[in-house]
Amino acid sequence: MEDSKEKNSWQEAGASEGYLYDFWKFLPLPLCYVNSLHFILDINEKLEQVFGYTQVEMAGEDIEKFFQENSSMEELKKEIVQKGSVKKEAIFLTKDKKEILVSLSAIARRDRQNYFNGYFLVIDRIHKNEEAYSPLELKEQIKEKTKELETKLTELRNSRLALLNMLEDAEESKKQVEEEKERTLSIVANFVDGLINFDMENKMVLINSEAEKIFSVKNQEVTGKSIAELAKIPNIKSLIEILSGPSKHVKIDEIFKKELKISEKLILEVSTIPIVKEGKQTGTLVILHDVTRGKLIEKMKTEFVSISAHQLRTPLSAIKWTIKMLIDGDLGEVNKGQEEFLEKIYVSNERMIALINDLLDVTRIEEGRYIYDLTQVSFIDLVQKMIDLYKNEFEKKEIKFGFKKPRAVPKLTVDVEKINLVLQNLFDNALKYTKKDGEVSVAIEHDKKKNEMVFSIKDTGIGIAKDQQDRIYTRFFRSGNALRMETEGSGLGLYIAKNIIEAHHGKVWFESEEGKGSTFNFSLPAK
Amino acid sequence: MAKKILLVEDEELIINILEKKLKEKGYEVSLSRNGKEGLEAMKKEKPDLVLMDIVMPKMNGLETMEAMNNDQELKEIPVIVISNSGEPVEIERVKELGAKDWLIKTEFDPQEIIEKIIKQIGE
Repeated sequence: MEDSKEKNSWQEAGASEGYLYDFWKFLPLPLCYVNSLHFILDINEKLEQVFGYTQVEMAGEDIEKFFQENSSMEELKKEIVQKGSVKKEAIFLTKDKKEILVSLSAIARRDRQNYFNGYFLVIDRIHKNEEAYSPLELKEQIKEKTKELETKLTELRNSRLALLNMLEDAEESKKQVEEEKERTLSIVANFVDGLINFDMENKMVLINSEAEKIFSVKNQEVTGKSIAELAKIPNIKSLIEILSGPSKHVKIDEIFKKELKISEKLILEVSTIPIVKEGKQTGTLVILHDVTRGKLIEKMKTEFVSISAHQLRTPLSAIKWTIKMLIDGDLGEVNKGQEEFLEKIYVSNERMIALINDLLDVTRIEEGRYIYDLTQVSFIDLVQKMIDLYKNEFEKKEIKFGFKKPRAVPKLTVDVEKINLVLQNLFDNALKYTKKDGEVSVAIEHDKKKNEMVFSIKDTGIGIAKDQQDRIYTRFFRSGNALRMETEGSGLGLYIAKNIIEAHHGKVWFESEEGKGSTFNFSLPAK
Repeated sequence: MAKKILLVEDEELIINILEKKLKEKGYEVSLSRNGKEGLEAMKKEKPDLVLMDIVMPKMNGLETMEAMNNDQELKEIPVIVISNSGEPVEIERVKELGAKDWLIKTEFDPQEIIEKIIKQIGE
């Protein structure tokens, strides 16, 4: 029995030891057992892990060795003997010479006779634990990560701010856009001219109230409709016809300016301009400008000039003719003294007539300044017609005439009446100042580089003296030799021609030599 | 037989001068004060030439020429226009309507008018 009892207790002791060993190993706190002489007997795995020593390195060493000098481990040694337990803070020295502040607890063990025979020492808290737990690399990584996170956070904060700002800006610009839109719409709505907007499919997208009024149509009747559909609405038909041209193709012609007579009391100038957004055409704007008043004034002005010219000239011609008859003796003999006075009256009267002629010419200059009626024409045809008119005149004067023209040239967009006036003036001059048996030649060239038409008329006439050449295009200027040759002529032809060509964005120039002849040129942009 | 000239003109002094000049040259002269009277006179008298002003009351020279062009008989009568204005548009229109000649009063003497008439119908 005794034997088996002993065997049992041995077995029990063995089991207990195994249990203790497992527990010791498992304990998650760094722990060591120190004997009564303060030598370490054993350490657990946690301690090995945390502080980097192996069990062999620590066992048999004085506990004091692992703590920094001023950790006062002396006190711990005394206290643990006297009090049986100690709690304190100390600085542990790891194997790689790091100092770690720790909290430790020690508890004494006594044998059956209550003699102190050693103590357990537990590191129950590591104050800078992340440093202690992390290997160097990890620490660095964490540092980097932290930095990264901080940067990211800052970025995030910044972008949040930016986003807020953007939202604010967007709100602001939305407001601005809306304000702008409202402003534009109110300008369009209240514009004194009629405005109609077509999109690229030639559908009407907008019509303002003035345009509605002009054509007596309502917005709802016309917007959203294509040109073809609009052509069927009687009130607006006339506009669509001039917009899409005589061929009635359902497309709006390019930029142009045309007159549209709605009634005796309403004449419109219709112009179209492309609406371009970022270099691409997005539609066409049609502007309807009321020119009734202007037209009326223009007509009144012409009438006024013609009437006053008539009214002023009638008595002057009567005076002229009567004096002439008196001088000629048709109305009875006049003596020498009387005749001298009559001659003087005649000259004064002639001067008065000349003044009135100038007055009329000045109003004609004005005509040259403005281009009213732009149409696309063949320039060659235009010149040919003018040649047909002058052909007989040249033949009569026995002047040789030549015309050099290119085969195919682009069309020109010009005010035909005005360009005719220019041609007429140049032909007149060539005819007037070229003597019998002379030569006049006309040429048209297409300057492809500049895309413009160049007209020239060359004569073998009297030419212009060098010292007078710079005044040739000035108003009322007539060269000395021209004056000697013919007293008629206003000195306005070339001035008017220059005005007209420049109003068409063209240029005028000439070459001349006195006694040999002149060449007058002008260019017009082809379009 | 003396050639017949119809003078259509409203300005008294001009009428006096031209009438005197033309009669001196041996032409037979009849007078009308406006285009309307002129047309009636043309139908009745069948003149050899019409010397006509443009700006006149009732019917002006241009309208008168238009009416003449629409009449088979009157169409053939040569017309010389004597005008005061000389506006290019007016001259253009006068040419279109078939006037044989045109002149601006202030730029001519009565003598020159006589020469133009002689050129058209002889002495």
